[in-house]
Amino acid sequence: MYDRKGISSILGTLVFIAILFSAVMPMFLMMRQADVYYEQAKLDASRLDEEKELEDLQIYVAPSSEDYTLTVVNNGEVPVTIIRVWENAKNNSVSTTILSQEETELDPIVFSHEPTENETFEISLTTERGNTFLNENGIMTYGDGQWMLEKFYIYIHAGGLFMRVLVTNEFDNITYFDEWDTIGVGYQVEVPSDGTYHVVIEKKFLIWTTTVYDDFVTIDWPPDTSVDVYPK
Amino acid sequence: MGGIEPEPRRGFNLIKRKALSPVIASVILSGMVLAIGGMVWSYSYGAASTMANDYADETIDMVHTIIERFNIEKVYYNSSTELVTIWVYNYGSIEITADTTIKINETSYNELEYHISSKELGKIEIDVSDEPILPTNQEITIRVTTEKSNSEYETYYVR
Repeated sequence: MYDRKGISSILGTLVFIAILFSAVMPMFLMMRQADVYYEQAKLDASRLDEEKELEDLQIYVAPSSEDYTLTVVNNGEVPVTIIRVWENAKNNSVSTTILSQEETELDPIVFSHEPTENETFEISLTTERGNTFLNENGIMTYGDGQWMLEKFYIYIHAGGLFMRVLVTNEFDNITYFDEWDTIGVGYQVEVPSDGTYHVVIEKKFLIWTTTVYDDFVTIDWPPDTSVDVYPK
Repeated sequence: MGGIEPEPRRGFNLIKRKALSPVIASVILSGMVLAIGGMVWSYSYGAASTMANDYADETIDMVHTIIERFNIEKVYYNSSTELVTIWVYNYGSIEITADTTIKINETSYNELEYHISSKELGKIEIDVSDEPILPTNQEITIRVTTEKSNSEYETYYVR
């Protein structure tokens, strides 16, 4: 008996610790698991939001009397899946994935009804991540058997130091774009109608100015809603 | 055979039985310790389980709140049917339950508890026939709130 004194205290402590561990440890483990689940969900949600922010599409519409074709350019850093095309309040389900920096033309979509005189159409599309992009050509209006668009574009594929880009109307010299840039990389010039435009691109070095492009370009609508300029 | 009966050998019996009560005492003590220990363990385990389950439920609820994703994709007023149609896209991974409120000239109209599954487009129609036909450029404000208290707002102008 003398040798065994204190054993009961040790045993009691061990039993107490055993009870503590077997009862409380599962709780701590479960809580830890819940915390991990929460952090993971938060991370997934923020990743989805970031990817949504990175989506950048440009849509160009080419309508005919019965249907319209959409050209979609993915300028963003993430692949984009298009799930719906809206024609005013009517929607068409589609499923097309466009990789980053790629361009695709969707299959022609038949108008939900025959366009009537002066009827307007707003074409937009929705991506899987919840972004909605309106087409770059604005609202389309049908009249006199043809389509009128709000916006047309001249794409100038030029870059360099000390550049000037000037776009004017062929006839009345209205200036639509006139910009000097220290560093210029590619330009999208919006013009209000189809027709012919005068494009001038100059580069400046100290006091010397060199004209690298000086020509007329034509937006031939329909079907083109834009024209590309490639200076030599 | 007469004479004095021999005295019972009590001392002998006591000596013989003297180890019994410590054993019984130990058994009783052990039983009590086990019973009390079991009760303490059972209470602790139950309390810990309840706390853990509550914590997990709260966490799941919080997760559902932060992962809800939806937007008001399109709004359209049809003057012939006098309906305002609101398309809500649930692009999140869980179903949402949406309460939609539109406001026209300080008058509110509601559509409550509309369920939209994950990756589905919900079409919510609200009758505004109590209003006169809405003129072009009439402002309609739309608010969609889920049961997790996430909200989206949109302003629509009648065309």
